[in-house]
Amino acid sequence: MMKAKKRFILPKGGTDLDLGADFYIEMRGKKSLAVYSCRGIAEYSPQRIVLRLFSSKLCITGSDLLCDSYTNGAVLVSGAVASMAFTEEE
Amino acid sequence: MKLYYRLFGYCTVSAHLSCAADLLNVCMQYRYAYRDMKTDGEHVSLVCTLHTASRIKFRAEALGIKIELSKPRGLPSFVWQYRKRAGLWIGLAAAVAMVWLSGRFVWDIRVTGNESLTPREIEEVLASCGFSRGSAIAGFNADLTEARAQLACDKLAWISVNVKGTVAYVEVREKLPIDETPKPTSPANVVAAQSGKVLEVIAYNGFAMVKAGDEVKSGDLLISGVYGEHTPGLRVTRASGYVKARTVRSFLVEIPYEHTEKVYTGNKNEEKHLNFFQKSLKVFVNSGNLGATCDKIYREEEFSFFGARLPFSITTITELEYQEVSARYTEQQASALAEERLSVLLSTELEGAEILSKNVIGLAGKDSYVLSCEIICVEDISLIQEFEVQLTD
Repeated sequence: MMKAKKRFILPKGGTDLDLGADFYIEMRGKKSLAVYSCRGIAEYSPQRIVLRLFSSKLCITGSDLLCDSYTNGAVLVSGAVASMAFTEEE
Repeated sequence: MKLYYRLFGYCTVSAHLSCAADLLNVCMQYRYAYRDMKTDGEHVSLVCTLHTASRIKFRAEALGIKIELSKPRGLPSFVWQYRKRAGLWIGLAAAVAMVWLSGRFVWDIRVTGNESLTPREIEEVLASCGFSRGSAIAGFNADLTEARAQLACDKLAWISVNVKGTVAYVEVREKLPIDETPKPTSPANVVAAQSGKVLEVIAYNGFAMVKAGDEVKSGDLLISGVYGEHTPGLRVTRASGYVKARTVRSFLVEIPYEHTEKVYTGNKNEEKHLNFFQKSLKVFVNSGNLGATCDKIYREEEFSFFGARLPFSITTITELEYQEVSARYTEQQASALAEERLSVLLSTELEGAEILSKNVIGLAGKDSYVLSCEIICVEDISLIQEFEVQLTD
């Protein structure tokens, strides 16, 4: 079973990470990325994570993907990210 | 964070991979913190506190998500596992109490700056002022203790007591000794302490009555303290001086053969006391009936730990029975003893004298051994002899 490595340190409790309609993505190399203003997780698997944003969806594909942290409005994803794609909210 | 988890207890929450998104959404929605998310391809697992795990299980099962919780770990599960071992908890409580209590008393007193006073004497002075090993730190008043100690001991010019942790650091300064003996001012002559032939006369004060080459006997006037026999009126003074003369001194040492000596019978009693701070507890007694004559030996053994003196010691009191039995010296033993005593006598009587010749004769009698010694030496034979002056009409 693989073990996730933290790449980002998200702000501690009390900080509103929800940026409203504007989502914000930070990526450090191809091993970790943080997505702010996330509404929820639509789909999860070690190879594919679909995040629900305000008016769209973000599809992250890769391998050994893990959600290291998932606080209000922000999700921290680690693993080998191969691609990211935006799709319209259905 | 790991310490937090171990203190409050933690477990692993597992769910099927198909429910991973719903599980994570529950954590996000209700702000449940987790860590160490893992997946093995079929299941997903998170680590969280016991309280969070129970909340996740409640919320998730309400949504139809099947959750499995692992065996709890951390301090709460440890306490629950050993809850029936009373000795463990009593020992733990006693250890905590002892650590807390031990920090509230003075364990050691370290003295610096002392010269003629020993650390034990200073500790005894402080003990008379109510401060010693075992005293409570909370009620300690440094100014009051220092003032009392200075009043209690005349030799102390200054004392400072600082308590750091459980050790009291005592710094002292002793008073410098001042000779306050008043010098005598009454009139006096200088007379001869021994008979002999004067070699040199130095009169510091007074009138010299002898000169080099004169033969004097013991008690003869050497330097007079009375002035002015040839002028109207007399003056008196305290005569002093140095009169070197050649003298012949005789010494006699007699050692009787018969004597009594101390012989230990082998019988003994022993007591051991454990001293903790100022309290003493008898821990061992080996008693019996001993005779009237015993030697009592006190021995105190202190302990230290890496240089720090511990607040307990063991005092051993041993009583050794002895008897006084008659014995007889051999001639050789008596001779050696006589020579030893003669040596001590000469060093005392002839201190500062220059020995010109020494003749020692030993005589072994029937009942004793006699050692006679004749010494020709050069020494100071001056001796101060005071006198009174009476006024007459």
